[in-house]
Amino acid sequence: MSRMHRALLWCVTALAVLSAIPPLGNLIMRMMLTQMLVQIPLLFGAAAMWGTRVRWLTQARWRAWNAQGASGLLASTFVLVFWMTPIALDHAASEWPWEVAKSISVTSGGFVAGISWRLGSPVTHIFYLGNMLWMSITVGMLYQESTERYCNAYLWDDQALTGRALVVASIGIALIWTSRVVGLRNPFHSAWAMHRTIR
Amino acid sequence: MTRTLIVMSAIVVLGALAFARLTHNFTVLTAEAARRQAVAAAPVAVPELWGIDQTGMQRALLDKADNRTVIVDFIFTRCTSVCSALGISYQQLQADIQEEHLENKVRLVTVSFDPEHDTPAIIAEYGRRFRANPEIWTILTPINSEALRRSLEVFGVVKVPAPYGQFIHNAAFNVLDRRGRLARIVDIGRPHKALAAAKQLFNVS
Repeated sequence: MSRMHRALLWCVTALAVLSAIPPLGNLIMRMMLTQMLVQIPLLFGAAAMWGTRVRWLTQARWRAWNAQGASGLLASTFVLVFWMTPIALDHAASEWPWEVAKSISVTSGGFVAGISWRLGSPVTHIFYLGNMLWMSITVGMLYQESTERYCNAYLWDDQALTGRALVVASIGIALIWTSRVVGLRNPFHSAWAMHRTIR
Repeated sequence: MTRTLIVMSAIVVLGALAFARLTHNFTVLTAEAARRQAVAAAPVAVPELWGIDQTGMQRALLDKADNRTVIVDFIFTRCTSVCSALGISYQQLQADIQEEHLENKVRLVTVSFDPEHDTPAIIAEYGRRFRANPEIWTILTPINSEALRRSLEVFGVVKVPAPYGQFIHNAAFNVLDRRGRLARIVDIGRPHKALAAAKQLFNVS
């Protein structure tokens, strides 16, 4: 692991912890946008990064229970979909036991996803990401389109903005992942490298 | 592979159970819908709430001597959106109560959740604006903020601060039975359903 990767891992971890505890946590929970697109991705992402580093859980005797990472990715799908439903978001915004349960489950889901991602083949990855991204795009479209406020704790404008952001983020993740699969390490990096070469 | 399939099956079962519990057996997706369903299934006792009404009298939300069912809503008079619509609906409900001679069966109560601004004088003005008949429609500004907080909690009213000094809140017709329990929550677009629920609760409770 390079020094840059290690720095990134600790940086994301620190941000994830800060996003889940007061005072930043309280601020983040005031908006649906920051709960869904800052806090949950940070907790999930940081835990997933740690998950990819745990080698012993990918050994043969554990792998038998998680072939191709299918079990772990399925469990993490359930966790993410659970915390995408308005009723769960509303409970988390207004009752602290729900908020604690969310932090624990999203972190565990991310950790398991990290371990399982390493075990998965590109086919498993496509299935998992395709499912997740399609689901977030659908939820995002519903949030944008609805004239009804789905969460008592959040404003309608916030809900519509969250919907747009979910769609944009999902398409962004799909583009990044696809470009990596076809060989471009990072589309933004590649674009920058091309720009520098031309200059 | 068999062991993986066993784990995956267990995850599906646990996940489905968690979702069933979250969504009240796959029937609701929002906290508001869940609250309405829960209240209809098991009415909830409402805490005592005292306030000043539009005539300047001190009154309680629940009058033990009064045998009528009650339709309650929560508003703030500075509201420029949903509360005005509620005021007009209440005006219509008052007319319906008079027309159907239900004065001895159903009464209306409007409670302000912004008592700092909604002084008795402002409440009186609100009553005049909507031609509220105090015999049928009581408009209250609470005198105890802790009691108001408890009431908002039980009625499930969540107010979110919004720009320009406004609050966004989940408005609804809350119908209390004759024992003073919150027994139905009806959407603000359906005042006639609220009146029907109040009449039905009068006959059964």
